[in-house]
Amino acid sequence: MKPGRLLAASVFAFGTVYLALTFLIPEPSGGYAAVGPRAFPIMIGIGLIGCSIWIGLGKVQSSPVRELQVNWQLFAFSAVTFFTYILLLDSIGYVLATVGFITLESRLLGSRSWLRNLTVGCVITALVYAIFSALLGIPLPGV
Amino acid sequence: MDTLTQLGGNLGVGFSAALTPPNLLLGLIGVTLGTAIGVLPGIGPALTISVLMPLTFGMDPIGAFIMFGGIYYGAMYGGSTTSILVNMPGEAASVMTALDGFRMTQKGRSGAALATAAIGSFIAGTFATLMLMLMAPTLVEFALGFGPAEYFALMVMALTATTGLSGGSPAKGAFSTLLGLALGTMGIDLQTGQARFTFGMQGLLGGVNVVIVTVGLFAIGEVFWFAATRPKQTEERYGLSGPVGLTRKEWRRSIPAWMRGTVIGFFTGILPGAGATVASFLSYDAERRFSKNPEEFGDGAIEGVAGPEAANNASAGGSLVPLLALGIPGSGTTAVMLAAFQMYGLQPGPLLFEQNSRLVWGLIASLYVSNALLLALNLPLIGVWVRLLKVPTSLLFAAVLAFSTLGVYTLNNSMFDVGIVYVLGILAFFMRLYRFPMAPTILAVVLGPLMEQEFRRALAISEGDPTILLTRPLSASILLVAFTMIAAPFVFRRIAARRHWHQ
Repeated sequence: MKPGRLLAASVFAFGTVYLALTFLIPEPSGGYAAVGPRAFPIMIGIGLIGCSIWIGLGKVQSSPVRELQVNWQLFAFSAVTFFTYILLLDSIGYVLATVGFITLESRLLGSRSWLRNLTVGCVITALVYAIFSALLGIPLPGV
Repeated sequence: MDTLTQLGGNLGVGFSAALTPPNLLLGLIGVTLGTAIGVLPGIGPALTISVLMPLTFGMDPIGAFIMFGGIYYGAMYGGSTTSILVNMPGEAASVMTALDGFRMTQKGRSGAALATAAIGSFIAGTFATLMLMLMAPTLVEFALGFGPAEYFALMVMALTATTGLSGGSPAKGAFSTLLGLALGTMGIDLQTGQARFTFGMQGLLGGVNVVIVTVGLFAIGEVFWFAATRPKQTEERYGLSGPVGLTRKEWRRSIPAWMRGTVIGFFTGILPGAGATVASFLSYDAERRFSKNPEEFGDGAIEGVAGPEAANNASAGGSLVPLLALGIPGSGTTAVMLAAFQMYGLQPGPLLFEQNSRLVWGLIASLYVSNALLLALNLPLIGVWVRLLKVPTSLLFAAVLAFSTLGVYTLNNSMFDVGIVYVLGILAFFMRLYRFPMAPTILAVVLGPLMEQEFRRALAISEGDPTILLTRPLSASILLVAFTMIAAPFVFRRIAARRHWHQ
């Protein structure tokens, strides 16, 4: 399937699902003014489907940005690292999680010195503590 | 004369609010932070204001908005420094500045380029604030005749304009807008108490907060994009050469460019959808046309720096006009500012001018102050800003990712929100890959619920008759304009194509 068609099809699928879910919204009982909670979402759903047709028909540049080489591996690593960070936030607390995350993620993004990464991780975590906890008294995960 | 004394009175109240030491300090923090993020790539004012929102919640709103205004104006100044010195615009609005600005640097005239950018930005920012001050109350007067139908039509226009002008395919812009609208419908419907699209999940009952959307699309998405595409840094680094100042001839060339840029920028800024970037493009184009030596452009013409820099600063002021006078944002940044108003339980628009004039005029007065602060910050401290650029993007982005994630957590003490941010980040990556714009989504998330409210109100008044939108002359004409906005890119393309044929 040409990329353009794939894109249009995805948007179409999204629109259809959204529209279908709209009909799960219960209308309030008792006569109410003409516009209930379903009206606007229905308009959006129809819009999405129309949009998918527009994308499918037009001379839309639907292929991904070709001039760039996408490093899928690095993207996947980043995604997984970040996901792990989120998972660990509550269990090991934000201090350890954030230090570890920044150290690892900055290495992934290209910073080669582990020491520097660790230092920045500690500094940022300390900054977060200073601003959120000490200054503003806002609770953070895992603490 | 009466309006003039009224203006003077309002301004007096404004300055008395803006010049209190805590607010001055917040203004200073705002402009410094704004300049810094203008310098740094990948982080923009919308994201910054968004992340700061949960932190400022307990504050007096005047102070918070003074800071936000400073960030907004500051970002327009910061982008120019790096455009000129290292050909790395920190903001899309500074891309035009880099064309001739960097060339001037290569020719040893970076001091002049920086001076013309800073002075032009100051003049433009001050003038734009002046125009804002004059136009907003007038617009408010005019808007008193607006009903829900007109507001709905205006919001439709804001969305279609953003869709059409977001660059690239309007069909994709339409999807981004609709995505934002769909996200905005999630949560409890305020008018009937019905839960919509919550899938039985408690975390979604409150809907998807704009901070979550901004952080997910701009911060997380940006980092994933960087990870996957890792653009190479330019190796050319020039120091500051020549004194930071202008020769008489350079003054003479810059002044008209500043004037033109300011006017172009301000009016472009008022239009929803068209912001600093469009303003800078239009200004560059205009300067080339008005120039006696158009062949100089691209090779270090000072007007090519003076005009766009004035334009992008003026557009920031312009974009505040519809936000403050009507409560209708025209860009990602102003949409986030609207959300900030909502967070404080304030609704910008005619009512705010009446009920909370100290806040509004305090903000306007603070913009004058911020401009002056920015001029002072940007010329002498240029060395500092350039050194800031040496911070490796890898460390910067990892830190931004952690910081903004924690910020999102603090919104509702909810890891669920953080999960949504993650999902949006992945979505944003694919949106960028397939060239879908993201600013319309932010705008739509904020505007959608408001639109729906106005739509339902309008139809409640007409007792269910949707043609009210077309029978009321004002709303009909606004909708007509909205419709033409979608056609706009096609028209522009035809004009551009025709021009190509003639060259």
